[in-house]
Amino acid sequence: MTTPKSDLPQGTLDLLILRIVALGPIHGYAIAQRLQQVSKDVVQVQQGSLYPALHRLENRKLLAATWKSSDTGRDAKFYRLTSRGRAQLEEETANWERLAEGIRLILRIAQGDLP
Amino acid sequence: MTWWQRLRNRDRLEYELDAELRDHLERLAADYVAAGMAPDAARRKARLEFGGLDQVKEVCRDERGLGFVDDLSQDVRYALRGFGKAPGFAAIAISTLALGIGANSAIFSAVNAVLLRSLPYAHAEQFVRLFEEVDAENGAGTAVRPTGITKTELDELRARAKTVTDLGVFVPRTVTLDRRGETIRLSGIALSPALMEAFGAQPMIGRLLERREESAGLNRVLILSHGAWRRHFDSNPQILGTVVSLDGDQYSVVGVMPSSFQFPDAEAQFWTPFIWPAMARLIVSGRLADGASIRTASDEVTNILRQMRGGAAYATWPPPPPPPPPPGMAPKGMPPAPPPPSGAAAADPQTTARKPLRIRFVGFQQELVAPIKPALLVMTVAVAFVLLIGCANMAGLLLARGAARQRELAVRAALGAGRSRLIRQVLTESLVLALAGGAAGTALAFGGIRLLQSLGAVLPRRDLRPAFYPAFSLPRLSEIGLDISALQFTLGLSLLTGLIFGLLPALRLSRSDRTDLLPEPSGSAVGGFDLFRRHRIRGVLIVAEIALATVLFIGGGLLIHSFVKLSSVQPGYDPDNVLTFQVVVPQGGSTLALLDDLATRLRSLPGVTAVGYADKLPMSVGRGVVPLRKTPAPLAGPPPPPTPGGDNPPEFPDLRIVSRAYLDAMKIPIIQGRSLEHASASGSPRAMLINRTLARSGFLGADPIGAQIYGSGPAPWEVVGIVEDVRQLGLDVQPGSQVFIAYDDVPSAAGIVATSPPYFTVRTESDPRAFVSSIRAVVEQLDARAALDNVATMDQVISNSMVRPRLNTVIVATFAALAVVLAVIGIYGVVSFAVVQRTREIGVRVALGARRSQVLGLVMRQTMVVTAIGIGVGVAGGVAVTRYLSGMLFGVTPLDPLTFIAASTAFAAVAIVSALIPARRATMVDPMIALRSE
Repeated sequence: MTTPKSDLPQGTLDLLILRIVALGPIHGYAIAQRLQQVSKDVVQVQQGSLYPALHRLENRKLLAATWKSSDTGRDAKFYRLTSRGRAQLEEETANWERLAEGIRLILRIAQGDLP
Repeated sequence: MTWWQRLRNRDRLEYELDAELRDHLERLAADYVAAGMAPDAARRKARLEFGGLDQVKEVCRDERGLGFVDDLSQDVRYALRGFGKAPGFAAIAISTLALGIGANSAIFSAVNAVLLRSLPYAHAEQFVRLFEEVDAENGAGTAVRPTGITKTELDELRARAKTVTDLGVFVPRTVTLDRRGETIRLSGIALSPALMEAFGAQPMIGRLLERREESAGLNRVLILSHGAWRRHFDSNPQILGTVVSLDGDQYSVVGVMPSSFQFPDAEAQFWTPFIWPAMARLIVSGRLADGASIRTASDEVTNILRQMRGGAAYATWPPPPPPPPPPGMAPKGMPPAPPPPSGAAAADPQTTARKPLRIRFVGFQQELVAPIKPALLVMTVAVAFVLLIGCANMAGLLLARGAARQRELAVRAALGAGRSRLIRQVLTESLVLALAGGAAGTALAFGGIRLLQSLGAVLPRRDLRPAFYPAFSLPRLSEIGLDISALQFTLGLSLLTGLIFGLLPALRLSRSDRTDLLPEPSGSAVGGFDLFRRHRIRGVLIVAEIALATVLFIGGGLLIHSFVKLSSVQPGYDPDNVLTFQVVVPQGGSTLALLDDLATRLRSLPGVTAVGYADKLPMSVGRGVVPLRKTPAPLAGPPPPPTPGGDNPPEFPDLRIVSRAYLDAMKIPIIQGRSLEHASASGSPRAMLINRTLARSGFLGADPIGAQIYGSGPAPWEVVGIVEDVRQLGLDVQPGSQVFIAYDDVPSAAGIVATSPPYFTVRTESDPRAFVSSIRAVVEQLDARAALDNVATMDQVISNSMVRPRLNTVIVATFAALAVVLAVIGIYGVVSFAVVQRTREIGVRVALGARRSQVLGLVMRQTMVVTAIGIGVGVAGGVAVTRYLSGMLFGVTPLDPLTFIAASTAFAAVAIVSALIPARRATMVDPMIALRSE
């Protein structure tokens, strides 16, 4: 069963990852799963861009990572949000919502709304 | 983690990245399996979905930010692989760089050390010596030569002169120290106390000399150098007041200088007051007052001296011989040699121009450097030439390599490499080359310095030529170290060349559209065959290289020719297997009887064929000049100054006092008459020998044998024989008139022998150095306190006198060889490259029926034209430039045709051979392969 998928706008992947990780320490595969689940399959991350994004965020000290044992018995790399990451997340979320609101207003504009 | 930490943990991070990504893949596959897929299919699907593992890793690594280092190491490895595939190019490039850097750094270091190193005492730049101006020998402008003043004039100058202070004299003195039964020779300086104060140095123990001590009676004081104090007095802190015996006189030690004080150089071991011999004219030195310049000091002193000398204010040379000086300072008797001012040409007094006295001071540093300055400048020019050739070669090499790699770079560009990436790659290659060359060059530089040190080593003696100036610093080439700034300069220059010419092809790439470089055009096959059609620059470069190399080759050839001539000069005696030394006996124990006894004992040693002794060796510093007259000299007072055309003009030949067996020991041939071997019969005049030059001069008439002449005493001497000319002052100095007399015949011989020990010359059958210990044993047997000093073979003495020409010749010849090698490499490279570029064209010609010889001729003709132009320009340059070598040449003119022809021909021959090798390769081109290479 296919659902209409949307292409992820530029730069938003980082924001989404931060939001997911904010919920609690999580490893890369689970992030991909959760993104798909939560967005009801709309957001499907290209596997090839997830990990570069994770490493970029780790580089910028927005995420911190540790190796812990996971449910499969093997060790996995768990990411968690840093305080800097949390601040970035809040800022970016506010920006995004402002932008989304603005776009929504323009899109719903009807003929009669114009002055 | 900082990037530095990331750098160090690279391996661990790689492992983690790999683990993380594999973990993801496994989970994905596990999910597919859980959804019902077969494990294999699940894994394959997971992998497909994930994309390439390595690609993702690449991107992750980029995000990690270590890209720069990774890229760099990749570039370096790539560069090294590239060099491995073209080892010839790499080897040539590195060796060109190494030769250029090494040779030039070595020479720059030497030039810096000699020209710029300051003398080892404070305020060295203010110390000056008194010279006077005379007309230059070639008539153009003025030259300077040392001039003497009297004690009265010195006192007046000390009182009145404001621009120059602390005037005084310093001369070298070697004394025999009688210490605990041991005889030690000490070399030091006798100087005016005022001069010693001028250095502003404080003694470590005791005091400096006092001004009142420069009068007889108060002068028996001594200041030791730190080295002498340590070596001979056990660094005894209670040294003050110790009385030592110097040459039989009692001196009291009043001070010790610190090791930092060296005047005039590190060899001086003591300082003692100088006593001015009455009536003597001596050269003075002094220190410029603060704010005074050489010009103002010269003007002031000129005025004072002119006033003092009144009507006699003209230059006089040589100074009139002084009456008997106080004992202990100079020998009495037949040749009262005035302390000879150094280096001055013995101008004939009658022809000395009478011009008003004009004083010019010359700084110590200038004086020291003046004789070697021309040679150093020549060497700097040679260095610059070689550097230029080296850079041109590097440029050519890199341009060629760049052109050859256009294709490869174009392919990489087409495959997606960014322009900056390509440039970085090329830069890295140039850097690797430059560093490798730099390392090799530095090693070469050290080796070069070592070589210079050994070439320039002189015997550490002040009594032999080459005398720079009697009391000046011995040339300390052994102290030259690698000059860091010189190394930096040459390293920087080669790096720059490498970078510029390495970058050009990469930059050219980015300027034009990349794709049209792929099918690389090699020029149309129609039209003339021009090696340099699209590479004019390289053509010009190679012509310039050849020209520079030719000039250097000619210069080197001239110097070699000159040195060969110098080495083959007949010295007038036989120097092979002759040992020379002085015998020093303390407390005036040295007498003629002792010396003769010693000579006899030495003669009876097995292996010794002849023994003699003389007051001076050939190549000894200092000249004993004696006035000879045909009639007795006037009895009272000093002789009047010589007047031109006078009735009794004296000759001033060089005087040698010798033992009777000396001429035989040195194998100086007698041309006419008899030798000094047998004493004259009692009642007849004492015997004197004259040399060929004096005989020929006509001073003693057509047949000098039997002529009677007079020295400064009333008794006549009789000329009994004529000997061959001996080159006493140097192989390159034309012998003047000389006379020989026997020690026996000199009334004051005892005094002379006591103060200046004669030089023994012992001729042996085999290597003379093997005899030193047995000679020493004989000497000790004769007198337990006696010691040998200044032991050297005559060959060593002669070789020592030729240090400078030898050094000049070796250095310039080495540079010439370097230049030729580099130019030849350049030619080879150029022709080789051109042939490769024209492969297609050659193939077409061969396919159309050209014979091998025609192809060869085609290539060679081009090369020959270029080489001919280069050599032509070089010869023209040589003609213009070699005149600056004239001071360094002996027996050879700067335009010596033999050298010019030989050098150009040899170079042309080598150039032809080096072009032939790649040209022959051109003839082997298989037309099928050539045409297909497009």
